[in-house]
Amino acid sequence: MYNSLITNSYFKSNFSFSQINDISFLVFLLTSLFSLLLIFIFFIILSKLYDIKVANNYFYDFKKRGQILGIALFNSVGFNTLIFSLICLFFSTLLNLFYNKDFIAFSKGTELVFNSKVFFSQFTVLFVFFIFIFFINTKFKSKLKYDFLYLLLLLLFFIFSLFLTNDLVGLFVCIEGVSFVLYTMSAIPLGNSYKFKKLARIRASIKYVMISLFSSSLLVFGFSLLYINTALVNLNNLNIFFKYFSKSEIICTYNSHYLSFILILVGIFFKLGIFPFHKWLVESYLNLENITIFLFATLTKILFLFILVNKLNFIFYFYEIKNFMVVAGVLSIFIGVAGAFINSNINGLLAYSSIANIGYIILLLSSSFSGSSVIAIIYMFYYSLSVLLFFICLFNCQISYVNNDYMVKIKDYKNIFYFSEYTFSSGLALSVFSLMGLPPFVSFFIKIYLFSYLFFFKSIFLSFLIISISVMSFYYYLNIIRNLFFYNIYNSGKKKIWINNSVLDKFLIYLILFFFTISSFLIPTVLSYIKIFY
Amino acid sequence: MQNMLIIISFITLIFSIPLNFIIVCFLNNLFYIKYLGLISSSITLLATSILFFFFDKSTNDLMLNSGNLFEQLGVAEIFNFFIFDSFSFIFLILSALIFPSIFLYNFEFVKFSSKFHTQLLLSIQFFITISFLTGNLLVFYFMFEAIIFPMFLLIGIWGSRSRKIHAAYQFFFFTVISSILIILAIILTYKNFGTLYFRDFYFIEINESDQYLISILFFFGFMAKIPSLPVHIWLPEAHVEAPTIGSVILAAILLKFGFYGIIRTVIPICSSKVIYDLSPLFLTFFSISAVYGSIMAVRQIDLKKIIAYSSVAHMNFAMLGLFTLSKTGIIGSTFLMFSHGLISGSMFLCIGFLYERFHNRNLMYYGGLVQFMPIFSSIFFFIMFSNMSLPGTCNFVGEFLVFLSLVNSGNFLLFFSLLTVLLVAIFCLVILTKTIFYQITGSLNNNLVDLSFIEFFLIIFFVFYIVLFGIFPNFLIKCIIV
Repeated sequence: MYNSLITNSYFKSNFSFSQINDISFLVFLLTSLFSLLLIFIFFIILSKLYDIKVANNYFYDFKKRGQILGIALFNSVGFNTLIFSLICLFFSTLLNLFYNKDFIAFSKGTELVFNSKVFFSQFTVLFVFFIFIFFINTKFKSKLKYDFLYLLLLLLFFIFSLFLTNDLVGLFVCIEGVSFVLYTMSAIPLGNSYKFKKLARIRASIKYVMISLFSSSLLVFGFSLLYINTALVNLNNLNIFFKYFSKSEIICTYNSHYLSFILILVGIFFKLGIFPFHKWLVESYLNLENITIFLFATLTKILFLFILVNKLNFIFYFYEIKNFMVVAGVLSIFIGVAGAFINSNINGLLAYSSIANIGYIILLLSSSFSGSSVIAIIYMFYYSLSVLLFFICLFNCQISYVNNDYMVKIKDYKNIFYFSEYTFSSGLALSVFSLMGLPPFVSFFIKIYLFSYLFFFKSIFLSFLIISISVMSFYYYLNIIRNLFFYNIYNSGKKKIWINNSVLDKFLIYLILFFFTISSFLIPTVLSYIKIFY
Repeated sequence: MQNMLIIISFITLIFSIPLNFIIVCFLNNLFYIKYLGLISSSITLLATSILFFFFDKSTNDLMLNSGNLFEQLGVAEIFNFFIFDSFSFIFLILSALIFPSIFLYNFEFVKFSSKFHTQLLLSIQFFITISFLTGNLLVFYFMFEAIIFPMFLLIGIWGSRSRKIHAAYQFFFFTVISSILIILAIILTYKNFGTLYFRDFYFIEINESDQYLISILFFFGFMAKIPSLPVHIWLPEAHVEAPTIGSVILAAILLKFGFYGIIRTVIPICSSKVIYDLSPLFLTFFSISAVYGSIMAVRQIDLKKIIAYSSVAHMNFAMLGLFTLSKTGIIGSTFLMFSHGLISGSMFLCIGFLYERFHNRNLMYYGGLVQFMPIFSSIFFFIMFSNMSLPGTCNFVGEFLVFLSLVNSGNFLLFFSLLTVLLVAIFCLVILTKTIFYQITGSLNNNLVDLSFIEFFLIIFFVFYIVLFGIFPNFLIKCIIV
């Protein structure tokens, strides 16, 4: 049965690989990924057993130590994970190249689905992971413990299994596994020492853990209600069931379907930080270490959005649920913009801007077009790229200021342009402009899509309101740029230090800029979905 | 067909060179950087001047479908279609003429972080060329809105006073808020027409009420770019606070987007009945703001502000010619746009030379410059006279044609708009007498140096072109086919 499915749906171009008309290639790739993961974990445990501390320094000075290449390579944990994430990146791009259409493969028990949604979310997750490990290796090395890197590998394992599960139970286990690692990471003090507010950090992390646990309990409750009502666990079956259920004219007297959907949505809204459930997000952004916020802002958001869009997409068959999402989206845009106006803290600004951006995405998802979910994922991909750029530039600044200032307020970033390498400040400006959604960036087209959708299908007033709110939001983004560039050197009284970007940081910035330019090729895909309107 | 291929290859050369040089800028040292911009802009100038000879001046509308070429390259679908007719060609020539001298100025005067400066300028050039070349409305919008980003940074970083922050914010928000109207208009056009290609607007006719709505939205959106009366406030502020290069780009090229956008959208979308209904409304806006601009220019004492208001007057005067809807009017307004680009650019450069020496823009500060800066003052004298449209300069041709077209559209409008010419002459003479011919003021006692070789070289280009197109206007008028 699946052979016919495959031949219909993939290999439209004449690759030489097209002769491999079998499932084995795909299975080979996936098993190789998992086996690689296992091998790396094995070698790390080996290195722990021998406890070669020297080997961890291999990344910088293996010539001094005179290590043999093989031993040193396998013993340095950070280097291993770095290489592993690179390999994963490579394989995921390979997978998407060959299976560029929606492709369903049935093997024993598991079902694997590859499409552009999966690719974009996988790519962003792995890219974030790569940069995260890069940073840990270079900047925070002295604070590093071995255990932390195990946690990272565990996180990677759970993320991979999350992409592959097609079960309510498996989904919940993976969500818990991912958030378990995030709980511990929020508590570990591994970042730079500029934040001495220890008590506030602990309070924020406890709050995060409590709320996250509560939200996942809501998720479990929703899942179990679903199981009680439908006696189905498989997501594909659920999808098919609700597709016909929503179209049938049977009046649903028993409303617990809606109850379960709303419980699931609330659980995911908690984790994404959408309007009524956003308060914890701001506090954690303000008080946690910046390196963990780096993960919160990019990795968790894309993961939970992916779950909502790709795994639990049967929620969107129901009109009433969509109205709920419209209200949540509009209000979170309001709250995000209003909160960012008041905030003078750079992390707080980023928190509120993330709330507003996810409000845009939720509004997008409330539309009834199939393309809107792909566009939401692309928007998230682009958003996380720009946040990555933002954080890389921020880290460079903060690390060179460890002993002098705290660099928490926006005011503290005054005149960075005049006493730093120009790649840093221009990179920060680029990321801020891309967060705005102004024309030279892809996010502009996604906003155009949203506006035109609201204009024709919801209400003209709403679309006009949201356009004007997004224009108002430019003001606080421009505040950052004004502080970076626009004051003369002599005006600010603070002590100045020349900030050096290392070669590695420059490499990272150029890498992200490269992806920025590459992603301009996404414009036609976004535009092709706009044509669906007519 | 062969001709077409050559044109396509030259077009790709023109817009790809600035983009490539941005990347090259990343790899070079600071010493090299100043040459790079100059090299790229001179290559584009050469390419456009070669294109001038291949350009077929006899056909009515030369629009290219370069679809096959770009499909093979696998480039995005929206870049398939370039439009290349007389209007786009003239503004392309204008930008190609102005950018080499801008980079020459950069060579001499930019004090810090010239790498970033060069990259911003190159990106501006790239956006400008694409937006004049593209045949798609959305891409046009995308590109001319993209210029906000480098322009905002140019005003903010290299501006001179602390007021520059205010000016940059005003520039940003006026353009963005006006662009909301344009977004709404674009969405409505796509709803009604089904395409966003300029070419198709000529062939499809839509409801009259929709025509009114769309054209008025476009008109008020582009009004902030021209800029007309209620929304002109950002322009003098931005001109005064921007560095010399920024105000040259702003006056010479960015103001032309209002004209270009209206020619591409409002005129093809409306049927003849609708546009004859609407043109009195537009004409009143433009005539009032032309007179207002010239009156405001008389009473200013900041040199840059005077020229900013004079450009307000000239731009609105040129728009008058467009909405008389006659052939002479449209030709005259296009020519006036071109000449205004040259002349206002050169005026801002002259004031930039003065500012570099004395660090002052006040009119009362200067006096008697002719006695120790003879070369500068003779050039400045000539440019000021060409601003008040002396016969023999290119401004005269445009203004004359616009007047010729205004004769048919009523006596009141004609005489009302004649006021602008009078007032422009007044403030030009005031500037000349105050700065050049008066007594030497006591404050001018250092930096009494005449133009250096590079300064002379870059300003003489402009003088040459002003005279060339003034005496042989048929060079360009042949190209403009309505």
